[in-house]
Amino acid sequence: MNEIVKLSDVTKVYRQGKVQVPALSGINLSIQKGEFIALAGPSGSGKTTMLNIIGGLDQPTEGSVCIEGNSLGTMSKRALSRLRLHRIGFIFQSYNLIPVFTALENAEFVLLLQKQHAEKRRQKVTALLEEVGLGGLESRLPAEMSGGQQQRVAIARSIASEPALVLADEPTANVDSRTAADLLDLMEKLNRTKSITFLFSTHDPAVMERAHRLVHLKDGHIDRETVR
Amino acid sequence: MWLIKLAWRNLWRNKRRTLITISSLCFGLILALVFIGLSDGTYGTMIDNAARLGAGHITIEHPGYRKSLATRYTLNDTAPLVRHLNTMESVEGWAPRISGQAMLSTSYGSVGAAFTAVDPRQEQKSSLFIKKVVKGSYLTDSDGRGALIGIKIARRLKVSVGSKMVVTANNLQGEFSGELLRVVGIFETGSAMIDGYVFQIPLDRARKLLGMGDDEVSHLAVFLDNQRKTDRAEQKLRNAFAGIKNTAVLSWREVMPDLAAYIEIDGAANYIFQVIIFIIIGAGILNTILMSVMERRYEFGVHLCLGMSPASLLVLVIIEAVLLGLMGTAAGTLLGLAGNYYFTVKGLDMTLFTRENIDVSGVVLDPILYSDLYAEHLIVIVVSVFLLTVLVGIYPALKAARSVPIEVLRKQ
Repeated sequence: MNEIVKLSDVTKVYRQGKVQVPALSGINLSIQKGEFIALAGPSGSGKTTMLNIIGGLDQPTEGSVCIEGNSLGTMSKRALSRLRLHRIGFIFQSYNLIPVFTALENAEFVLLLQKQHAEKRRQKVTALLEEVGLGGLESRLPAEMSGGQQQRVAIARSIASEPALVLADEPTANVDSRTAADLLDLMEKLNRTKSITFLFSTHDPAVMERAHRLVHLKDGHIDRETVR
Repeated sequence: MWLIKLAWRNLWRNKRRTLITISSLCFGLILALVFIGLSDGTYGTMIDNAARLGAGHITIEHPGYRKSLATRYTLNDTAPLVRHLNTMESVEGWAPRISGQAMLSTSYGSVGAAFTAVDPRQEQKSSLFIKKVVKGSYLTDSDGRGALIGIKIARRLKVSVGSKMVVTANNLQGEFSGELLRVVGIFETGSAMIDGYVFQIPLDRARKLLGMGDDEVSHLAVFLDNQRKTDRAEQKLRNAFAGIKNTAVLSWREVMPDLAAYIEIDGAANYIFQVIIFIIIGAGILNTILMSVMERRYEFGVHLCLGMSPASLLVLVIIEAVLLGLMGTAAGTLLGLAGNYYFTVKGLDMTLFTRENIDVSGVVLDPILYSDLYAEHLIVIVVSVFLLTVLVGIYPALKAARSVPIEVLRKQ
């Protein structure tokens, strides 16, 4: 099965008091395994809402979302939590590393949650940090690293458990353009070599340029799609 | 294990806050331990002094005696009782006594007083009166005419060592009976009641005065090596003497109900004070943990986003509370014990804050308080403070577990 994500007629309406604010309307989207895809659009267009719904963090008002063929609507909170733990990786704009954990401990955090064997975990994460260009920095705390280095740790954390899908919410927003380019190089390489599916939400033209498929959102609708 | 590691490191993210929390926990515990230690010590000294100046930690007497305090209610055969007392390890000593009311007269006047007739040899081990003699000496002869009187009686009757007095009392036949006495010693306990109302005479002199038989006594005063063994020893003696007719075993609580009530009421006030201390400690810890949780709600959202279960988050915050509790109670226990040791050796001098000779139910409170923390109180206080810390950690932990992961992405 190559379809990782399938959104069918997804609508999301937020209630703010008596006012109903539509965030997404009738979204249909299919993402295939190994895609490097970006959601673009102005603020308020529904990018983050869409990521939340795909990540099982929010529920659509109407429509259905399937991850690897499993409908999220029928899953309990616990099952959603397990799905995120085993099948979805997250990369955040502000890295969100645990400040008291070292680079190595942060990168292995998801594996810790999965209760993987310590030695195996360490070996895997050490190799992964080497791969993302952080060899030798394993014992550094987040505060002792640059923004780009922290985001590399976050990338390592997101892929350590070999998820089916990585959701990256504006991953280059807090770094300079040079670092952004390096991070994109890294994610592209991981996409290519490990067949990890990346779904970005972004304002960054550099991300849009690199995306193999670009989904433009406008007022909660898919305005257009560009495939490279 | 990694949860413990994370919790430990989380605690030291804000070193100052953690240290302040541990210090407040520690300070509260020191306060509680020292306070309880001094209370335990003071009550213990009061009970012991009262027993040694009075009718012993345990009193064996005729069942009718306590209600009327009439001299006709006597123990007629103390030999089997004494034999049993001699076999008990916790019994430091015993003393046969006759107690009653009498009139002491000299050429200067008369005073009503309470006498305790004693066998001086049996009193040597345990009686406090021996240490309280300020003039002359303690009684030596069990059938002599010596009398040991309180300093206030001596002043009132204008007598000194060597002076003669006449003691008059109702004998068992209800007739007035008198004996000539000679003052051999004057004692001063500091208690107005004892110094102005109590005197001691030899046991056989009292028997002659009251017309009692050779082995008759009002009661046997039993002294224990530790006043805390009273309840157990009392129970053992009750069981042992259950078959002996006209024999009642009473603890100091029944013989001195005023003192028992004072200790009970004062103890209750202490417990209220302890509870207030615990509430203050608890509020401080709750505030700290809650603040630290509220500061990290976003971070907890990230954890949940990454797949951490709410239960693990709950456990994480509770571990933080447990670690805080362990550090605070360990430091507090060590320092509290050190404080208790200091006050056990040096005492706490309260003379600046109190008047001299505070008298509770005829027992003079020593203005220097000595600590004697009981092991069970130490355990109860330390465990309570620790459990309190863990308990107040539950609410913030629940708050953490209820963090909503979606807020993480929304707030970015």
